[in-house]
Amino acid sequence: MLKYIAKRLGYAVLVLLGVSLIIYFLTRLMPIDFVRDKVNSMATSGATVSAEMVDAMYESYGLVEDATFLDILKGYFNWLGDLVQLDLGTSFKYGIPVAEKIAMHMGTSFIIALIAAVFEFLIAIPLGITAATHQYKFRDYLVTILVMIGISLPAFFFGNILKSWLSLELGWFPSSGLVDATKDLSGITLLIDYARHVFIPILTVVILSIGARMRMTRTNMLEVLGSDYIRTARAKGLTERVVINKHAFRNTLIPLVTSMAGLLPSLFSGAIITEQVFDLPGIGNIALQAMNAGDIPFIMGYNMFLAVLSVLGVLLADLMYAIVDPRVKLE
Amino acid sequence: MSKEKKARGYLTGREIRAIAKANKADMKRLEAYKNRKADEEEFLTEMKDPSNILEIEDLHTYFFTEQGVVKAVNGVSFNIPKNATVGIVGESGCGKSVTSMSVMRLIQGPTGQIYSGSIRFKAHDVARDAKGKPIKNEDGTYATEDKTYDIAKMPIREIHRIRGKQIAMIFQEPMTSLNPVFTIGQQLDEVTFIHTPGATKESAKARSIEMLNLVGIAMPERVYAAFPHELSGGMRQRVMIAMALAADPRLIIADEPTTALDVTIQAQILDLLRDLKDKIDGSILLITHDLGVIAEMADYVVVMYAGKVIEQGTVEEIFHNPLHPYTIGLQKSKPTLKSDDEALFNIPGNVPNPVDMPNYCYFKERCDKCVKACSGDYPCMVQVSPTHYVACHLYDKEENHG
Repeated sequence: MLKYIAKRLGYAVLVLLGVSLIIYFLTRLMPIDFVRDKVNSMATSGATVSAEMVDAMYESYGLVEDATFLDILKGYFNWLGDLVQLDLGTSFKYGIPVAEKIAMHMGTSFIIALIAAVFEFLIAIPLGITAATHQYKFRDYLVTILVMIGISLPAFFFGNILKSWLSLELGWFPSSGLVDATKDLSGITLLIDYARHVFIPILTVVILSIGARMRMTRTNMLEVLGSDYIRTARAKGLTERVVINKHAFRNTLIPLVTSMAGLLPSLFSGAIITEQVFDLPGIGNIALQAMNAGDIPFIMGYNMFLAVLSVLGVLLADLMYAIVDPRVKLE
Repeated sequence: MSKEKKARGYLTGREIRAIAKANKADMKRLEAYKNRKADEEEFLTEMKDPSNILEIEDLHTYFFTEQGVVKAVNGVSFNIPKNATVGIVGESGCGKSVTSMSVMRLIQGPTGQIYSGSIRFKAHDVARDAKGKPIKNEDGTYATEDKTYDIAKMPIREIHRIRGKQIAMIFQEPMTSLNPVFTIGQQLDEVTFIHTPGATKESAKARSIEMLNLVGIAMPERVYAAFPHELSGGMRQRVMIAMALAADPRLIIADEPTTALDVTIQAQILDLLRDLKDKIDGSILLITHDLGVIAEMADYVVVMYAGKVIEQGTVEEIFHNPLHPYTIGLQKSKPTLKSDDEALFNIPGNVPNPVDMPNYCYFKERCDKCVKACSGDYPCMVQVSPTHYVACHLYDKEENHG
């Protein structure tokens, strides 16, 4: 087992190297030049910028004007060299170390994503099971139609609908941000304030994501219910409830648990659109702004962070597989 | 609509809607009947012949499909005497598995339903007082009594009185019939837990190990802790048999128990079943399309064709004096060592379309012995000896003379 994990981690390093190379080149190929944009904005605000100053700025950010392939390659190895020393560099836009900036905003996104994921599973799995056990009956159609509406709604649209209804019209929840800046809160009242602020964003994410999970559960459950061992379980004299909740459910869990491990990167990536709609200082929002500014160290740092989590997620999924399915052995 | 289209089974939109409407009404009624609550009196009955353990009478099991009603079992009647092995033979799709599934009430609704008929079964059940609680004897065991149930009329919620406990089933596919995520022990113990009142973990395990020993598994403790995928096909089928026996059933239904196994293992499993039948003092309903297996195992044989019984009798009668042209054809199509220079015999033609059965004999189109009466009504069962029955117009005369 340990040997297997070590081997997989070894492969992961190779995968990450490849990923970093691709992301770096794609980032550098973006038609955004952080220094030029900065110079332009300085010029419009009335400051005089000399050619030497521009050169010095390129120099200090480690960039070259009109970079050639060799310049980009050199830049990549510089970045890689820093990474080996566990240094993700300093964000151009935010002016602080990338790792620090990510750590600062990750919490908000993580809490929202985690709570949303818990509710997603808690709601979607029972719905999927009832839909499967009542296949082609009223309950199945009702559940399917409702979750399909959820899948089909775009986040920016549905988020705004919920916001205007629950917040602007009914006034039950604040409409944006994470804390109420007009009040001085601490302790439990601060926590309640946080909860009130993240309620609608979480509701949005849950409603939009239930559908896929419910469909997956339903499909799995139907497949399991049609299998020979379920017929055996019925033939033994078990009640239908035990057949479904024990024999069928335990088998439906196999793909569900595996998909749960695959959720790892999405817990930290932040919900870019939802965070925009509700103006939350989450990592997704920050990353989008960095992308628009051409903040190369931050884009690299953020994407590599997600790449590491994805690789770990896949590994975790395989390990979980071996735990829930006795037929799977890791060699 | 052109005749050609009609012959190909083409349905117009109107016909499809008419079928759907009729099906919906039937399925709804039968499903409600299946899920109803009912007092025991409603499905208690009496055996016609007390020496039988199971009496199937005029059983109809239908599947309501979009093309029409498939009468998979269309008026089947036969009996299983106590301590006897009854074999059902017939080709694929003749309704032999559906008959056995009907007895277990495992037909998948809402499309599949027992339409009419009765399945009388003499159960040996735990005696219950007026409140439905098991009555305990003074020595701590539970009192039992004989009751005859009509399984076809039982609400599905009462079926646990029969399934597994009174009638157990061994399936065709040992490779897929065990739950892959539970150990053999967990799956075996479950049977004891459901059917033995007051079973403990220890008593269930002891019973499971005893059963594994009984079916000839060499290291029962190890198999008890193993997962199904760690066992071979023959071992799994032995486990299935152990599971079937764990609750002391009166009747074991073996649905092609050896089809998925290789020949040497087949022989072992058949030997095992034969030995066990004597040990457990029960009956076996053996379903197969292998005439060799029937000859080896069965006391009585029921030959089915297109959802109907066409001939039944003792194993000697069916093998030495087959009467129905289909039974004769079946026997002829068996490969023998003597005929290795000829092509294997086969019965020409196909089974008629199951949604559109003719009103004359279903075998007429494939029969080489047709007489004038064959174009008339479907033949009735003719008794040719005290135990031998055949449904064929060729033998109508004999009945008239007798």
